[in-house]
Amino acid sequence: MEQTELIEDKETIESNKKLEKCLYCSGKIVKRGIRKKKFEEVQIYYCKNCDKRFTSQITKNKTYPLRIILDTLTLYNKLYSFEEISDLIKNKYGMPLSSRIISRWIEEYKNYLPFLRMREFVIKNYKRKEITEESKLIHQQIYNFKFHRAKSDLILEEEFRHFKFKPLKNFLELVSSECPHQIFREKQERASEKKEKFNLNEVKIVPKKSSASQFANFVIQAVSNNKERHEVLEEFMLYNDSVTVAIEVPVLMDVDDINHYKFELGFEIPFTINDGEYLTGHIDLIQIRNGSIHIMDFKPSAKKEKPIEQLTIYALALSRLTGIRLYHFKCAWFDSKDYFEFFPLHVVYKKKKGKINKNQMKINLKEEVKNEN
Amino acid sequence: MEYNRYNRNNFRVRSPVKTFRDLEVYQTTIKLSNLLTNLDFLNEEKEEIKKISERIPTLIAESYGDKFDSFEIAEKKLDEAITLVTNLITKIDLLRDKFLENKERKETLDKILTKYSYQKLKVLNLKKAWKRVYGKEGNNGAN
Repeated sequence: MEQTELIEDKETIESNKKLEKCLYCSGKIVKRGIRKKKFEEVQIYYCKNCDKRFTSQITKNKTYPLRIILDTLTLYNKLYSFEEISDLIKNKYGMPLSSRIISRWIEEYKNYLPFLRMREFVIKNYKRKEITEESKLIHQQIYNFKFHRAKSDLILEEEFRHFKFKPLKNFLELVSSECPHQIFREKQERASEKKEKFNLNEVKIVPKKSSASQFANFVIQAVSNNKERHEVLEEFMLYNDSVTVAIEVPVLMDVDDINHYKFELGFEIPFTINDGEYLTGHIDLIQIRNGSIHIMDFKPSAKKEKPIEQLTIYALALSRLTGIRLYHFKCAWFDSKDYFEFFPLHVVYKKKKGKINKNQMKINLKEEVKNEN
Repeated sequence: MEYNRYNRNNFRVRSPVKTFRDLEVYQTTIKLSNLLTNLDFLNEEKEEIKKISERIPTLIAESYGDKFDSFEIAEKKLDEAITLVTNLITKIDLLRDKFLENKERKETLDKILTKYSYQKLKVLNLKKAWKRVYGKEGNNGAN
């Protein structure tokens, strides 16, 4: 085990789990010393108001740092055996891990491991190497694209209404080998930097309670670095939940796509792209659940942000690349507390006023027939 | 763009890859082929190396189109492309041995060799991905 590696890990572990207020009376707290545990050091806090000394709840009664617990759970769902997991953890962190501890963690954290119900099926039908497709996309920065093949197969087969999302699976299957990297490497306009605003009339942004926020709340405490948080959370969700099928998915749109939406489908899109240029982006998380494809983005302070443009462009691009109607997409952004979602179709397509709906037309026809008789 | 100037038939296939020319393996093997044929120290081997190196991107391009009709034909062509890359690697290896004492030539050939080995893997991955999507077993994905 290299010394530097250990120090780095220690730093990330120590600087997390910061408390802002007293756990008992929500009063003001001050730092009061450090507790040396077997494998980590934990900050002790003191509340002047209620005269109590305490540490963060996440480290309470735990010998091992949370990051190691997360890694262990992920390795288990990557189909490694207990012996293999303890060897891998020992090599990476230099800490011994017994099979008993691993099985206890799996039992304790099973709320965060919905994938367990799929695990048995996956073991029977897939080799470990074939479960996921991973590739490092060296675009303007490095993106770790990952696609959970086994899970997406299961999700598509499990529910009849998910059957229509097979083109999405085919698209994800081809990303590693067919992605036109040269386009992404050139400086193209990014979906996340698009400033033109969509018309947001009739768009409902619905705050919801989602397990994605619970996952974020659990995982984020293990990592302090913001960029690393993103990666760790995405990877944890891909391997351990039962709905995330891919992370860091590259998408692009060109002028033909925009024209198709504008003139063929009559969508309101407030920008155009020049010939030969592309609008590119990388989708954080793609989930298939409840009969829709969810395009998700993790934003550290979700309440203050409204990445509607970015997410709508992702949905438009993915809809065009897969051939799945925009109707089947939902977009959402979240952090450890909040989760907001909206329909991208409502952003670009408004109900025309004065248009008679089908039921009304039927009633009118019936009345006409009656009058004639 | 005005609607009048806009041609409906311009819509591309719904895929990030418009034509085979967008495939990275195709582009790289073309570049490598040019690099090889422009080497000034090739003598009697030049013709054969040129023939093989140019055949590789051609096969990839052909298989891109063929996969829509029959995956079996596309697979055969990709297999042939992989075999040709292996042949080419052997040929470059032989050349490399010939120029062992000439450091500059040896390094150039080494670089090309590494790139071709990488492309061989890429073609293999492309074949696997196409098999999952367009092949018979691609319909369920499970083993």
